[in-house]
Amino acid sequence: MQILRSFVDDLGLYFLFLKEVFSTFCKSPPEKKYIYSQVLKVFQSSLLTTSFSGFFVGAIMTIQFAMQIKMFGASGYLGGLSTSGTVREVGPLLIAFLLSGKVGAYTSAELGSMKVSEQIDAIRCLGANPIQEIILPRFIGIILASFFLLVYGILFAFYGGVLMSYIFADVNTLEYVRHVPTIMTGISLFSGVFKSIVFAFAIASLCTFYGYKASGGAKAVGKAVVSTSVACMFSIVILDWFTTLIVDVINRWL
Amino acid sequence: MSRILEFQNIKKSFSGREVLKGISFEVNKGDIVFILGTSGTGKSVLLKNLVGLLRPDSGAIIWHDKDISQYSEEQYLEVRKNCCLVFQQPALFDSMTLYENIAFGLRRLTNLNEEELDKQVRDSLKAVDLKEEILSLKPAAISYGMQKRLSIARSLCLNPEILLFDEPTTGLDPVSTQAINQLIFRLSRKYDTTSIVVSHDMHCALDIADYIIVLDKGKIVEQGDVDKIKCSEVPLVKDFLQEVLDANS
Amino acid sequence: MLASVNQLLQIVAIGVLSIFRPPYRWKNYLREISFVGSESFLVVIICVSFAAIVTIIEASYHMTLVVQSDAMVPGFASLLIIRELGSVITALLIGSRVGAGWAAEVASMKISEQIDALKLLRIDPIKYLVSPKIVGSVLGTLLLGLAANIICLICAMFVTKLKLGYPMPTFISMTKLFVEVQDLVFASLKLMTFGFVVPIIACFYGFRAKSGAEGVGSATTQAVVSISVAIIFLDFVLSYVFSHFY
Repeated sequence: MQILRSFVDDLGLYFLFLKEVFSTFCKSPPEKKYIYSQVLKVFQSSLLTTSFSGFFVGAIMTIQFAMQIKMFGASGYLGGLSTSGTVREVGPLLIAFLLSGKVGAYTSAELGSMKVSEQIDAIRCLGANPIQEIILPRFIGIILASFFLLVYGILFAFYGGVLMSYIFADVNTLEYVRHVPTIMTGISLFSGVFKSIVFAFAIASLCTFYGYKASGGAKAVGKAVVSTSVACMFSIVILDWFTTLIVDVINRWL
Repeated sequence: MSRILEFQNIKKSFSGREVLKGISFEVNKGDIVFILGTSGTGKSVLLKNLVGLLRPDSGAIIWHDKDISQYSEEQYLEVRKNCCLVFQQPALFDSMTLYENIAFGLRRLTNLNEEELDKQVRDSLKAVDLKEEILSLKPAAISYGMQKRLSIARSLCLNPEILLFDEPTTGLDPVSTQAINQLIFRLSRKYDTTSIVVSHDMHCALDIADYIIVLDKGKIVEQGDVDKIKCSEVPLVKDFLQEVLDANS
Repeated sequence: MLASVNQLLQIVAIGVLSIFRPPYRWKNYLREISFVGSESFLVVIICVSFAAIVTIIEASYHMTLVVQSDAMVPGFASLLIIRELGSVITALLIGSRVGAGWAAEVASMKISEQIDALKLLRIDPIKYLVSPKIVGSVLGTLLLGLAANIICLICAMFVTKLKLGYPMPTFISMTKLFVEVQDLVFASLKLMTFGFVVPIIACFYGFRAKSGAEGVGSATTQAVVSISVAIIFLDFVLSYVFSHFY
């Protein structure tokens, strides 16, 4: 019961926070250069991790698909199936998991320590709006950066798949790539991009929310980080389901 | 002596726990007022109510004959320009240079041009006895004591009529403590600002305060000038005074 | 670099060896297991249930596309769940919930000098802090992961019934046909490996925390990221190795 109540409390505070962020955005959007510097910062810190994990996610999916396809002797389909499976679903999901740690936890730790060291209060006292000065550049920057990182990670997953199919399933690269378009349709690509946008928004909003909410000492920062990474993963899985439903509906409608 | 600020029956509670149970006092222009009390008696909460970081549950804060306690965030800008809070921690912005740290408030609350702004920054830095060489550094590169001075400079450069200090000497060694206290005294006299200092250091309160207010468990147990405090019969005040006597002997 | 490797190896070696050396702190072991379980049970269960729905939808999409029939969906989906998704999602969630919690805990102890206090009391901090976490995490992840796999399969079964119209007995018999005993063994091995790295990495970053509020935050962040990367990398290695045994 306690868990449920605190969950509902957090949910309410989260939507109030979103409302405040949006109304601030409409009233006084942040300067572009601050957003760019945030995007750059996120890129610098996460590019390596994203490519690394994207690569292995692709490799894992290829192994799994290859083992299943082998039963039917339909190795030709490997390229299409594993690429489509990775792009549509598993790629965005797992890479977003990773980014929620890398970007989300980092940002909430940063905001959390600004909060507990009274920097956020100082900003208010010096006549500035912390939502506009601190939260918005990060919020927008992380949405943009995470989206591009997700797409970039999925690209690396494709490379991982190509390489693994060559090493593991004896499907040569040309054969692999040739079969990609037969199964990877526009809707699959759309699904991947759509999920990336949604996940990017979830990560950006949750990490700024929990970081901004932190109060207390050093422990509160740790708590904010833990809450952020759990809330990110949890909502990513739920949103994964939700977006799959939407894509499914669109697919049928087409 | 004219009255500049008045707290009327301020009450504030956090999740059911009443921290301030009806605080009323007045502050005269140009005074150095010390608010003393043990840890956790709501001293800092009182200051944060004044600058609008927290809002009182009931009661009024009268500043220039207007109740500011229910002001909107925009209206509070005027208050914050004139009542500057120096935080307990230095609360400097890690990502900015010290120069930008001081200029932060000036850029947002005043309409100075770059030249005037530069002069203002350097003047306030000089007022807290820091050298200009450090202006291009980041906060992490200077000592804790210097960070504290810098955060005072950041508030001072706005030329506020009231300076608020939230435990300015916590975490400092005795020598730096003495220096900061002298700094507060000097600044108040030089710029004719009113200062409200939240502290648990009776020793320096007796040294530099014009008026002392002692809080205990969310209530004022004693208030008056130094002479009145010295012959107070309130147990908590006597404990505080005993502490000072012990330290001196 | 060398010092970090040294420290990591030290944590692994002393942490593991101390499990088998007295004094046995049974209470601590139990506490850590229940910490793993209580912290993540609900989250894991909800997440794998949703993952099951998505897996079925995705599998049916691909099967219809390739072989124009979704009759094989239950078999393929349950293989994918047991071999891959059930374990990885559980491990990633435990890594972020429990791993981050442990990293924050150890880091707070470090910056408040509690670790030094332990040393003065002649208690080896690695034995005292890491060993129970290893036991708790390996067993906890294993139990939670197996439970998650089962719940994920049950959920998948309902979804197949509702979405694709295959009755539940068909799902069960298909799953029996596709899933072999070694799949379960490999899934357990995977889970135990994941469970092993979580406390190691969490404590490693916790012990290295620098003072101040930023110290705890950055230790926790680094722990979460490293744990996730390590899990994905190990998952790849294990999948690759295990695939040779089919």
